[in-house]
Amino acid sequence: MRFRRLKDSLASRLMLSATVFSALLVILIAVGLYLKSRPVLSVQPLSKLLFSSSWHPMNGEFGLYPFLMGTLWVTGVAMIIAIPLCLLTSIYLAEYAPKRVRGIVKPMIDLLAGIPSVVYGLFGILLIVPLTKSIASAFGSTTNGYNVLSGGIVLAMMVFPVIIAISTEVIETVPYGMREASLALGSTKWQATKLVVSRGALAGLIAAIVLGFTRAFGETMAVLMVVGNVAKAPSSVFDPAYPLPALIANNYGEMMSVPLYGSALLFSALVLLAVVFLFSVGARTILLRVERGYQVG
Amino acid sequence: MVRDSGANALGRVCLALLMLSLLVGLLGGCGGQTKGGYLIDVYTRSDACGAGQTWAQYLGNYTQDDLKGTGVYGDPGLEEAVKQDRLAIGYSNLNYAYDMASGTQISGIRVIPIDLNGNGRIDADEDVYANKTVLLSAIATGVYPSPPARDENIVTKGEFKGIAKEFVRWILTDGQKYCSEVGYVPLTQDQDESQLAKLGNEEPETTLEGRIAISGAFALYPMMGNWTEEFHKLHPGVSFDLSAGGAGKGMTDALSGMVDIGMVSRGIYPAEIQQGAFWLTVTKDAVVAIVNAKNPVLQDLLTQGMTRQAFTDVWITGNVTDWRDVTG
Repeated sequence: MRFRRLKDSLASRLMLSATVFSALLVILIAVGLYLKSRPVLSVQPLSKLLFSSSWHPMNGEFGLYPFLMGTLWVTGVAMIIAIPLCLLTSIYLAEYAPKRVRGIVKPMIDLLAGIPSVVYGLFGILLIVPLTKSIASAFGSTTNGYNVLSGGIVLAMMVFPVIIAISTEVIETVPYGMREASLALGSTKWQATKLVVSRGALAGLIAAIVLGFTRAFGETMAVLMVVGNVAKAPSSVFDPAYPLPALIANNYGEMMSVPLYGSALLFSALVLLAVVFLFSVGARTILLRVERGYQVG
Repeated sequence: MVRDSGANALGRVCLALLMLSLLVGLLGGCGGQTKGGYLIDVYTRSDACGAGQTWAQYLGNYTQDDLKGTGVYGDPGLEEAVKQDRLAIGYSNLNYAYDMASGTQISGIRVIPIDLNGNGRIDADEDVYANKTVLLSAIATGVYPSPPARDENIVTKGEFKGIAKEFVRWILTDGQKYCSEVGYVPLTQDQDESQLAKLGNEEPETTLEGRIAISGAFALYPMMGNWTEEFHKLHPGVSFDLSAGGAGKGMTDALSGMVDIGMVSRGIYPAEIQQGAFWLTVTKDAVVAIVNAKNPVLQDLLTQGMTRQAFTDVWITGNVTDWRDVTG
């Protein structure tokens, strides 16, 4: 009897400490990055670090603005491409597709998630870079193909499986009775989907998109290979960009060469963490609103 | 009925989108052929590397961050970018511009000859790019300038110790004979002696056994691979962990004690010496400028070459943006 109790309390303590550990990890990382980025913060004011466009680490100038903009542009383009495609796909898979089609298509999409990012990068160089080059010249703009659009397309392909898998499941959890009620009133399948199912699943769909976004912010290797890496804030989708993760991956080797360089790189990691954090807090707030709206209405 | 029409509409939208994107792609493909002129597509390395640093140094007192152009990751990446883009200009480690086995220039790219005396054409004594053997001897005799020819260095914190020290001693003595067969330039007698003196006296240790960890520059990696193999044949008790990850990584790993030997294909910065970097030169190679083999002004480019000033106009100031202005 006592042994059983002991096991019970042991198990609960073990799980508690595991939970505390994983919850503390984020704080641990943030504190570690902050401590390491203090040298550069003491040399340059925060506003200059974040909003100066001048990146010349050998001369002690560390303006992260081009990299911040690069991250936002590439992620933005990726989401503009990914959101409609993913939502349409998951609605089709959950509502319309015959079982057999689903059985074939879903595993194929899930497989996308397992492809290493270097492979996406190579695919991007071989196919997407020439494609955006010709798209750009159709619009009368010149680029060599290494630009925001290439990065966005590659990134969109990488977030497909995340968003599609989650949204399909979310849509499936909408109670069947809601559809039946709508269909019974004479709606078409599309009307039922648009007016009833999509509303019931809205909160979950937003959560799926947020997860996709957070993955997109941090994705490094594949984007780095096609995005051009020019330290200048882009002004169109055909301009090259230089996202924060690419900055870190390209230059962490030089951490020892200039004392402040390493500190600046760790600060940019902290900035990336902050961007993702702000974004998910914002998304969570929206999510709460949506959910509360349902309870009231 | 109801079900079908919904599915069809959705399908039709998807199909239309697909067709539209294909159409745009096709139109673009045609458009690119006719307009756009001969605007130079300038490429540079995105990762912190010895090649970029050396090239920037050649163009003046610059660093890799000053080089304009699209940043591509790694030597193989830059080579691929130049291969695909007929208006491209880039720079590359010698061993990535010439075929390892045959010693000829890799198909799809051409090495730009440097007009050393600035007379607007490539004289017989400046024409040293036909194959790797010719270029290597031009580097050894100093005809090909330095930079972009450069010393390949190995680095450690403090000084080389134990079996690593004996391995380095072997590289500077018997190991030098393998340089030219892999595609590098051996050190001259003087250089060799000064480096050996810097290395210091022989260790009293007699048994050569253990592991030596090495990481760093892509440029030195093929040479180091050959050396470690040959040394392992002589001393089977010694094994190696060898990896490539760029000059900066070699330096960082060596200074943090992660590896016994760091490969660094650029000069050593004062800040690194302050942190205890100790380095030796083990061989030489070079960075060369490359273009696409279908470059619109290729013939002129090969007969006229480019001067250091012309490279600076392209990579640093951006004064020259059209291929026709390069060849005049």
